[in-house]
Amino acid sequence: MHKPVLFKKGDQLFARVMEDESPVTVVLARFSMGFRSEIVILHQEREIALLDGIHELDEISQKFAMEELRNNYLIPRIRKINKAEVYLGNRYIHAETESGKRCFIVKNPFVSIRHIDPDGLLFRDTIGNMYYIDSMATMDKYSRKQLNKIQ
Amino acid sequence: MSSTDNTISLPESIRTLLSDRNSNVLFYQESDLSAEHNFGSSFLIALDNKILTVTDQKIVQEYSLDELLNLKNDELTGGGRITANTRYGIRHLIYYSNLYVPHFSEAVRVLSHFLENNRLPPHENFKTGYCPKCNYPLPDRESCCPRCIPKMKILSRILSLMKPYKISVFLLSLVSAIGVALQVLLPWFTKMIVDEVINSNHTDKLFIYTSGMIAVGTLYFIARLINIRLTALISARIVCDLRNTLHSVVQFLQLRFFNRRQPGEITGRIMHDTGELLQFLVEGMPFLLINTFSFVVISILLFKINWFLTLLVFIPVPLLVTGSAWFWRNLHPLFLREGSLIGHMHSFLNESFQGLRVVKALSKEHHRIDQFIDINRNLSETQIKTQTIFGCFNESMFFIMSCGVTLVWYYAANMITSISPQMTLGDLFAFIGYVWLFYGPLQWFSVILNWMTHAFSGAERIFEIIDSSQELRDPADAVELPSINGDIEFNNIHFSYERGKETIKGISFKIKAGEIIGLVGRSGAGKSTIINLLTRFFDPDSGEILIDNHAISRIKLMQLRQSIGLVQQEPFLFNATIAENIAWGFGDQIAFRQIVEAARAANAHEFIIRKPDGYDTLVGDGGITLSGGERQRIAIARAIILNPPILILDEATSSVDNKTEQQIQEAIHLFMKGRTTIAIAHRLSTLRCADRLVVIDNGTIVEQGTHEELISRKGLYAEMADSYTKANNLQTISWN
Ligand SMILES: Nc1ncnc2c1ncn2[C@@H]1O[C@H](COP(=O)(O)OP(=O)(O)OP(=O)(O)O)[C@@H](O)[C@H]1O
Ligand SMILES: [Mg+2]
Repeated sequence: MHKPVLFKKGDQLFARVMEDESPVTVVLARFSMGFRSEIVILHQEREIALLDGIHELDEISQKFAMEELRNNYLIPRIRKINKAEVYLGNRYIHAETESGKRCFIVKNPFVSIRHIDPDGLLFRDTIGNMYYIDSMATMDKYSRKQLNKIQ
Repeated sequence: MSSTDNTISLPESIRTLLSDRNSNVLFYQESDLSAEHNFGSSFLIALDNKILTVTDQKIVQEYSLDELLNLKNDELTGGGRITANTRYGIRHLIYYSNLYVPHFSEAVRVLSHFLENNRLPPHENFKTGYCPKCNYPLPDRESCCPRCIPKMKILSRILSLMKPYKISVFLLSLVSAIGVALQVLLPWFTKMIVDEVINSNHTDKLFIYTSGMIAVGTLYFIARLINIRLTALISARIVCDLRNTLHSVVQFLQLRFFNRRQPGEITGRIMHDTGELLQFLVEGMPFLLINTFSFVVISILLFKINWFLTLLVFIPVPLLVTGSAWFWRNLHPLFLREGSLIGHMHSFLNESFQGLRVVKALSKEHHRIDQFIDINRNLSETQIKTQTIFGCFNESMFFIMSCGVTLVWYYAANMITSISPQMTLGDLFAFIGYVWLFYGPLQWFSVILNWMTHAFSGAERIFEIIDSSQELRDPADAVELPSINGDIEFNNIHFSYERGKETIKGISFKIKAGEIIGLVGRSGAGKSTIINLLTRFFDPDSGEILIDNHAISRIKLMQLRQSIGLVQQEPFLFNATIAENIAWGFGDQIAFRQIVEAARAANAHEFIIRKPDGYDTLVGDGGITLSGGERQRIAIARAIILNPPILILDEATSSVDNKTEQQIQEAIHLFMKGRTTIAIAHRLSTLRCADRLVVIDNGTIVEQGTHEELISRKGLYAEMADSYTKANNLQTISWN
């Protein structure tokens, strides 16, 4: 298989495979594997390539792919949980994320809080926004205690 | 927040930023993400001649109208963005989180119209998703804020459920009051026996007092019995009413309600939340009523006996109250976890049984067992913790109370033995009796109050269902047509299951009565959705669907649905006999002969009579004892039994072999002669009798015509037909 080469015209990402150029987007086959693995390059919902990881691309393409992923996945990483409280079964989580502070609501923790590799958590709030913790082990004790309260 | 007529609500700083443009702000929409997708705010703004975006008081992008070719929403994970096709290439104008998906899909609609026609269309304003009062996020845009819901409002609503049982409730309160009064009398007898019999050696009075004690005890016993009976009666009736209401409300709910909820969740609300409310009504409510009352009465009595000792009694009260609040704070998360673990276990068990075949087929029984052991251990650990803390709570409270009582003993004994005693030994006995009556309920008050919150949240969820939108069955101007011929017209229909993600993107077509139409298209194209709109399972966002030139929203829903025979993609059979399933809901109104005729037309008759129980065969849960093709044929018989003017077959024969399918088709066509039929099938040979094929792709009609016409057009249909033939040839080869 020929490795696609990514480049940009304006805000639009393109891929060149052999001599063919087409506008593309980059998505993840599954978010739970993190930003660098299992990347799919799509042209109008048709798959051009499925890569095991971003390393399969050349260096400049990698940069574009990462940028595109950052644009396509609005899932901030949580650094710290400031507070977790419950009102009528709604779990309010006040978090400090890489994109700023946010309070969001999770209803059923078994459905809306999922484990991601290796020891992280992915939260899906009641309106469909997502947030993640990449590793519980490196999370501070206070945050873990807060989370423990609502799970 | 968006606005057309003024810029008042646009922040001052942005207005100043735009002031040198000398142009009116026609429209703006705020987003919750900055240009770098951080949480913050940015604005998409339309001026008379420009569209621009602002983040952090800076204009980030700016285009004059003729530089913009078109705008569209991109769906992203966790939000979306507006992408513009400009003279300089593709540009991402603004990002937003899911909170603003409806706002920005509306913004794109409005601004696209603006680019084309140079004026703004009327548009909708959406709520922000935050509680205006406490500024916390709302669980969803339409719901009330769980933090701000006034508890009294829920309480009064719960109380209003008692209205039909007014008399019983009155009796109950009366009996409770009598009970308290009797309870308070008992320590008085102790005092009398000690003071007047034991201390004064008047044994003649002993009989009177003990008889009095027995009489009061008996009355108290009877009052309690009546009390128990009445509470049981009232609460069970209320919950029974509530379950009936809930179930009937659910029957008429809009299907949209179920989109984001698991059916299990709703069953849970009907059974579990009502159960919790019941328990509170049975135990919590009477407790609060009786004890608040007796608390006041006993405090007064204590003061009357000895005010100094009473002050001593009050010393541990703050400890009791704060202590029980502290325990509750630790218990509550555990209760919460226990609740959600139990819920999780329920759905796991459900899945275990429903998915048993898959588990077995994959030989993953042990995997499943391990998963369950995990959940189960989790639950038992939580329960151990809960029980331990609960026990500690009980014992600590008892310890604190005993300290209070000891204090009373110490000072009271001093008083009694002093030179001028201020109280008698009998007073002391009565006093101690009252103190226990006083402390006892106290430890439970905060627990019960919190329990009330718990039960209220259940009640809240129940009310949420009761209040959610019902199908608008018959608007005031709904008509009942004398008869329905089966002319169908779709008029520029747009529809989205979820706002911002359009599934049907402007579809128009006409079907003449008696025509047979085939809907074809790739999986996920929107075929079943079109059917959902015709049957009004969902209503379109815009556009109109007409039957016999009447908008279907104006036809009585009952008539509409009874005029459409529908075989759904995944037919559902009730756990009843085959005959009952075919004539579902019409029981005696349909003659057995009619059932047989419908079964014949669906090519089901023969397999049915070959079964030992014939038409009386029980089909099991969801029809589990029948084969896929047999289930489909019963569903067909059910759809045509009323001889409806319109028949819809959504993959109705996908599970039967080619020959049987052909037989079914011929029989149906005889049976349904002159009626409108819409058939959906992936197997293109299913549609060979269709007068016309309509090809759907990605929510739009891409082509229509007869099979031959479409083949010669070499479009999507030709492509599908080509791969279909190839696949079929392959099959023939592999069979040979
Ligand atoms: N209840 C729903 N809520 C949200 N999205 C839905 C719902 N039902 C269907 N969709 C989506 O709408 C689109 C159209 O679905 P639809 O069922 O109409 O497809 P279809 O053409 O009938 O496909 P198939 O041939 O596989 O039955 C799909 O992308 C599907 O994921
Ligand atoms: Mg379908």
